[in-house]
Amino acid sequence: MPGPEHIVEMRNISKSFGGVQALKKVSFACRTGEVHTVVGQNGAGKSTLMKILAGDYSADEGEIYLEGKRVRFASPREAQALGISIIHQELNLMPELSVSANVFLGREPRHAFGFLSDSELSKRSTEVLARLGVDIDPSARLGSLSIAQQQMVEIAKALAVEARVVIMDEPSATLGTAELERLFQAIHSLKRQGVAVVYISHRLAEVFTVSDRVTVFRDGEVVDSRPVGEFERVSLVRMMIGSSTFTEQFPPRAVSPGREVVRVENLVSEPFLHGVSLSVHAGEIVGLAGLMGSGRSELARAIIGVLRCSKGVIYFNGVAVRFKSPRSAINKGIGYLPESRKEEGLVMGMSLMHNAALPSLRSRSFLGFVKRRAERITVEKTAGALAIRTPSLQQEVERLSGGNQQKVAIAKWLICEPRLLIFDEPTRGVDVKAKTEIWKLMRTLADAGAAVLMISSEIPEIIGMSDRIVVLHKGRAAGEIEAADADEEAILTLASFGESSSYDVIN
Amino acid sequence: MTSSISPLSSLRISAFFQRNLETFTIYLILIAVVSTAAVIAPRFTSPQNLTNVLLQSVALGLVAIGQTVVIIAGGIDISIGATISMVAVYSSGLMVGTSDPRIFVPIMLATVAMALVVGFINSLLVSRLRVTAFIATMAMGAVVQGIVLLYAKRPIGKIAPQLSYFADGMVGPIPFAVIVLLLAVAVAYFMLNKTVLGRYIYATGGNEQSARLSGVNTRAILIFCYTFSSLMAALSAFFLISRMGIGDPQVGGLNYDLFDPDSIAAALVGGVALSGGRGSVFGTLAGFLIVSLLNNVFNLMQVSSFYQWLIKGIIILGAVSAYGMQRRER
Repeated sequence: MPGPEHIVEMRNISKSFGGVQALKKVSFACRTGEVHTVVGQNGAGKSTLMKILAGDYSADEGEIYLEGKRVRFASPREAQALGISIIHQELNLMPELSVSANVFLGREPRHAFGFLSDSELSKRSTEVLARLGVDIDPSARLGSLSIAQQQMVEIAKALAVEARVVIMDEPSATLGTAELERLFQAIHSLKRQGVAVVYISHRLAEVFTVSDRVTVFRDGEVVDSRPVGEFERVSLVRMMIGSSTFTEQFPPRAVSPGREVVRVENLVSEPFLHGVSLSVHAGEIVGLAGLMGSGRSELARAIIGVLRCSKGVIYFNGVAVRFKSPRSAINKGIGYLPESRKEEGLVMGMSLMHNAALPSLRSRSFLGFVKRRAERITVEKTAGALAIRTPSLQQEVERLSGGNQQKVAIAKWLICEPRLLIFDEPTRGVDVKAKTEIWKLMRTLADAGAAVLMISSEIPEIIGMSDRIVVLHKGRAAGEIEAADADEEAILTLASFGESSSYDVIN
Repeated sequence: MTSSISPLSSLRISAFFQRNLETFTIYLILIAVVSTAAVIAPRFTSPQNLTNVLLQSVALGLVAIGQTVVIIAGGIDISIGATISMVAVYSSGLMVGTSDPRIFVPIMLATVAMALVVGFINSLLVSRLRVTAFIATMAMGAVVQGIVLLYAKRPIGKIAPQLSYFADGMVGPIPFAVIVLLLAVAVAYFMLNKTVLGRYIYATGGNEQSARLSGVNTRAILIFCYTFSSLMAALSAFFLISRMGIGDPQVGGLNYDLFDPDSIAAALVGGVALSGGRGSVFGTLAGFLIVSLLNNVFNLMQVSSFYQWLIKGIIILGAVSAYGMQRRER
């Protein structure tokens, strides 16, 4: 029997997705009034475990005990009824409703005949907010609050359902320092009321501030779980990384870089970029690392003219440019593979051929008419070169596998033969085989003289692919690392702390 | 699959069927409606009535083409009826029976320009101010209808005699207006399927953000689509006044022919997806023929207008839910 001092205990949890084992017999427990931080790299299995705990997923095997009693839940609703609440990174709130209506959404206090009781609602929400120790007007419209305040409302919501376990999935990713302080205060008042807080974070600095206990995940397993005092920063980072076995899959680096293709100087775009500088040369792959919210994608968007910049200069082929729209960036020879292929990379209901030809369509037209033969030949050639597996070029992309969809999104830009390619998470949601193919392709492009800027959250990918690594931290370039000196500790430290001092200490 | 066909070509044929399944479905429904009509209303098949059916479909057909283009681009236009009324009333009221082309041609051009302005404002509301297309065009429709009723409360004016050729003229056995309609279908088909513009329209409706990041000037595309729809409304208005000989402030909506809902119905029955990015003008051709046919058959059989509404509604619901099921299966 699990000890009663554990409010929640998960035992031998396993979960796999389509043959990939995401969790291997993982055990995890949390005490009353404890802040238990879960750390690990992307794909280490920490969010999968939390989603199982919150009822989003069901485990393939293993048991969950709540206060010593075996529980099962088939939905987040059932988990919530038992006292387990999760606060997702994207907040689930109604911006047009008042704060109090949000706090009691779905459980509104009622009068005898089922009518809503506004007085009771405002009384009880004031009470909950007071318990949390935050100063928010319950009658304010939620949308008028800052992100940090909205997060407090989300926490109040968990308090209002008398949650005994509150899971917070990277709550700090979108917060500034002052706001972070308020989040910590709220976490402390949760603790005082005997709530167990499970805290997921990538920022190591705050792990040491907020946690009582830390559990480290790696490759679907728990590597270590101890009180925070027994960890040191260095050992924690090492544990998260483990022994890296990725290197051999990456294509070899080849030619030395040529002349500068793009240079960004002091680019400012509030509230994302606060003066970023970097450059990419022909034949070079520059890896852009950084935590969520550090401004990586925003930098790409600023370069191609989607995001307006208030300050700074962008040089393209030595000439200062400021693109007004993606169209003009494309015309000058820039290709941008967005992070989300469903929302931004592809038109899902359109055929493979029409998607692949879209950015370069004008160059294959005569008097406004599409030269269909030229279009077909070009797409056929590129689809062949990328080994896109499809029954026909007329296939709608929504019916292709994730890896093949990504290849179509890449094919669009290959056809344009750009001078600069910006890849935002080029291998996200893609199987291992397609990953290797995409990596090889990126290297081929660079060898052929293109400048490649690669944004990635996968640190092994950053290290394996880049000739040079730029790490962003809170909208600034925190540092630059040559490929030869790159290791995961250096990158993680720069990305988490914004400076390499602790890294120097290690050496 | 039969063994006489090589695997490759049979694969191609089945792929072709798959892709055009919706268009085939709608033509099957069209054939079913025509056959039923021929059986239950013997007068239906007379050459005179068939010509009449085609002629009756011209006004709706023209605006349904415009509506199709707008819906494929991810929008909707419910200012069509008011625009028709506007062009009808102003052109007929201003030209009052003149036979001098130096007078009526500029008047026609001016009213077309008025229609284009309506479409342009629609597109600005949608693309610049980010107003939902439904609300933006509905409000514009109300504004335009108001202007129309300020100008004329009842049918006014008289059209230039030369203009009646649009409705009455025959080219051999085929009415001139039907030829105009078929030309409009052909132009829209080439535009949507063969040109860069058409591809951009589908991309914008399919996923505006993806299209923009792929270098499509989505704003310009929306401006084009809404003004194109207004242009078709103007054309439809010229047909209607040349048929009626007078400009009626309510010809586009209010009392009888409801061009806004009917053009949307024609497009949806024809397989155009209201979510945008999907559909074809050939589907819409079948769609507006079905809607016009139903009106014709109902009149031949003297069905009360209450039943007309009922049956029309059921057919639209049937077609649209059939598409919904087909799309979900994929």
